[in-house]
Amino acid sequence: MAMAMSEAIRPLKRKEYDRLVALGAFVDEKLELLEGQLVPMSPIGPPHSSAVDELAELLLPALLGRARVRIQSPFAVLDSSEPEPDVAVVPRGDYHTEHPSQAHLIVEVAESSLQRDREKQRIYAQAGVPEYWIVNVAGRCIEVYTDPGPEGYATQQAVDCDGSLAPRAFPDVVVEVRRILR
Amino acid sequence: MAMSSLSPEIRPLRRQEYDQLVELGVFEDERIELLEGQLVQMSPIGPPHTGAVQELNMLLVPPLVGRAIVRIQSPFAALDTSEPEPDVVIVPTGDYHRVHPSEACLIIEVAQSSLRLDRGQKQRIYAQAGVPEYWIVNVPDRCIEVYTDPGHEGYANCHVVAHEGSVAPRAFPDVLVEVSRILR
Repeated sequence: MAMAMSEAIRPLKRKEYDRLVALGAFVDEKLELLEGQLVPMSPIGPPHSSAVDELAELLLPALLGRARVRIQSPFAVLDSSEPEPDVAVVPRGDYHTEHPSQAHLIVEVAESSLQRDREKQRIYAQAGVPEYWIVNVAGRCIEVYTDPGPEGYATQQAVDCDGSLAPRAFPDVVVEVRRILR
Repeated sequence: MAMSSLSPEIRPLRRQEYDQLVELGVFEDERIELLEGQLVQMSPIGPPHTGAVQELNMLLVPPLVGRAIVRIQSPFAALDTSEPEPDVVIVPTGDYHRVHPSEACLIIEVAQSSLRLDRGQKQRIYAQAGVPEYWIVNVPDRCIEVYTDPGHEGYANCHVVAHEGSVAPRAFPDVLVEVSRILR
């Protein structure tokens, strides 16, 4: 697959990707648009699914009426990216005609996708998402990224299995790491 | 840009998907080709390039009328993930109103600044598509490079026809092209 000639590559734009999605082009595929490229998403195993379930159970009731918790839904970052993060906490609003483009917090659960999720931090940071968590299944911790800038998040810390954390925007919503990662 | 670090496997954009976007008019103001699943910007065309294409057009069309169709800078449905727009393509006679041709007797690219692309990725694509013969009109070196014997890795044979020489498509040996007429 020829990346050698990449100097003149024209990234696929989100609006073009959305039109292909609307035409049913990717119906049997799990893809994300990342920096203008179609990227297949890794298959999801039981620890991944369960971590997402736990996060949903924890976050949804606590944030009812304050924010919208979206699970594995498209997020309209930047002109040429449309990832589908495991969890996106977005402002309340009507997203029937357009995907949200702003978020309080994005969470990715990483089982086999750790490297990619760490690279995705650049995309979320560039989009101005103030806080990004990676639930690191293998490392049994949650990586917390804050202070977004054009190069990525400036601050990173890890909360291990005995710890707990809360989204900066909702400090009352405390997440115990051991509940997410059994 | 380049998410190459992020891409153990990138899912190439397919020709069919690309064609749908073209039909929707999304690339209307852009000069783009689909090469191996990527949208690639075409280099701007200068006067020597245009001149060579026009000469080829005038030279090839009359003797091939009724025998083949000469298409200028038109899409060629090369592979599942490629739809280049070669400068000249000689295709079998047929009706191409609904689908772009996917077979050709000869493809010609005029290379002024695009030599690397034309010799590399394009050469590989045309060979993989089974195009029996591919010429690169090499503007800076004032010659025509002739590629034959296509295979999966590219063309097995390449020879150079110098400015004083002439060359004819294998499929139409009577249609003689003098290099000096194409490259003034």
